[in-house]
Amino acid sequence: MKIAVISCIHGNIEALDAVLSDIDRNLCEKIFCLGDLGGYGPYPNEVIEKIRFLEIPTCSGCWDEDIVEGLNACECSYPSLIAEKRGKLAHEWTDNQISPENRDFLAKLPETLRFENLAFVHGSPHSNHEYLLPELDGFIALERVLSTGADVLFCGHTHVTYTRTLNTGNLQVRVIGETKTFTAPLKRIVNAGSVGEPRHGRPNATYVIYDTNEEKVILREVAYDYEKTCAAIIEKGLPAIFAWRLARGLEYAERADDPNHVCTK
Amino acid sequence: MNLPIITVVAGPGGAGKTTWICQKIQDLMSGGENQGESILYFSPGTGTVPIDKTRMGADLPLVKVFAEGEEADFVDYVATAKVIYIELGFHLELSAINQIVGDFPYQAIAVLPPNLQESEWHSWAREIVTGGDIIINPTNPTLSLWRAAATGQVVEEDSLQEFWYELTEGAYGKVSRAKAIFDIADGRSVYLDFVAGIEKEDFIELDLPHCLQGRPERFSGIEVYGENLDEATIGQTLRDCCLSDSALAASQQQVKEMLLAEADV
Repeated sequence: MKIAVISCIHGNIEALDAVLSDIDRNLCEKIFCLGDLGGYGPYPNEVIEKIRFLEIPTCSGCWDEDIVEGLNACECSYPSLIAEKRGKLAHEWTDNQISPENRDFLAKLPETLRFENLAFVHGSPHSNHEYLLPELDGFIALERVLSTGADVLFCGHTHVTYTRTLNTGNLQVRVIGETKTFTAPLKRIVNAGSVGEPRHGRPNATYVIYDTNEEKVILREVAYDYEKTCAAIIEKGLPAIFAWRLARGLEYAERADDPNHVCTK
Repeated sequence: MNLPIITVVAGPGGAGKTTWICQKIQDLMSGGENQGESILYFSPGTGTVPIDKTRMGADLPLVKVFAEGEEADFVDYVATAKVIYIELGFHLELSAINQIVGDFPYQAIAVLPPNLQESEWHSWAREIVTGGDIIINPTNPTLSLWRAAATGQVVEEDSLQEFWYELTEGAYGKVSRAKAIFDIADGRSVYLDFVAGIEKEDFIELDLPHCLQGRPERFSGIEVYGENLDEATIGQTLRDCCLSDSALAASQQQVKEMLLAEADV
């Protein structure tokens, strides 16, 4: 069975529509969404309504959580003072836009989804705000997968797709003088990238297709009419710099660069 | 009375006028003929943003440097000077030099890009020096010069990196030339330089004392020349990079503690 995993749509309905068409063309039978439906982009309600209408199983992202509970980002989210100011401005704008029904929908999103031997989270199983960067320490990465009980952990949040195979690992645990050793089987982390706010130097949307029979990951990059989204950003009164950055495949503001940072939120 | 040797240097922005003057002064000083005390540098027409003067003063502290508003001091020193360099900004009329030097004889030097074959500088200069291979389009009516003093402000370095990237990559208009001096959070004063078509350089730390107590009183500011500049947004983005009083105090305290810890080792 082929499943599609999408993440970090960030109010970009044009990108979402293009990705859904690509998923159709690739004959995927299921879609999972890893959250961050709104934030920065001009169409948060439209994106949420589409996800609801299509009944796509979705877990909560940091932006979804922050819209419901208020801003709660770890300091690792913002690489600079201007990024923080832009992030807060975008949060305030999105918070004012979201309809009560959509806010209720976001409030009910689960933290984690499971399907067979697959687990789906936004950031990491520990926190929606934690970044599982590809260079993350191998032991921590393995621990994050093991904590879900799955073999393949799908995450988003970094906005860059990647696949990381964690080879068979020997873990040694010592509890009050008693040492236990066990072997963890091969595990994988797959990052689904970002539909609406990519960070790979091009405006194209990204997502992944996973073939459960062949255990094969396909990283997809989909072109779409990003200029429409850029025009809507300006038309709706969001900062013009968001449009400029989207057109260049740069994130609007948030970004983590330290793979050793363990998020405390 | 021996007349000082006056050299007037003109040319388009980014061609390398200040660099050429610096080099000439360093040559004089390294030849042992002059340690700098009897060398004057004057940069008229800078308004409240004397970037070249500040950089020259930091690089060559023995040279007496003057900018707009300091004409009277400059004239006082002329009698004791042996060598005088006057840098005419690209935005000044060449005839402006007559009001400055009066009847004193001077050498006219034009620092010009190799691709410029005909210009007012060619007919004015006694000597043409080949400068940087920059692109110039002086007849474009949308070209404008924007300047802002930022003395007393301290910017966060990561924000400054982001701002400078956006500025020089065209987020706020097509920039041909930009230069700036800023105080940053760790107490350093840095010089930033951009010329379209020339490889970008990292920030250069000026050889000035670190400011770790309150707001700096020394000059900082920015000058941008380009097409369709969104001056209001440039100014606002720059303000967003600046530290509040409390953030500045915390940052300075942190640096002082770090320096103390290093001294203890």
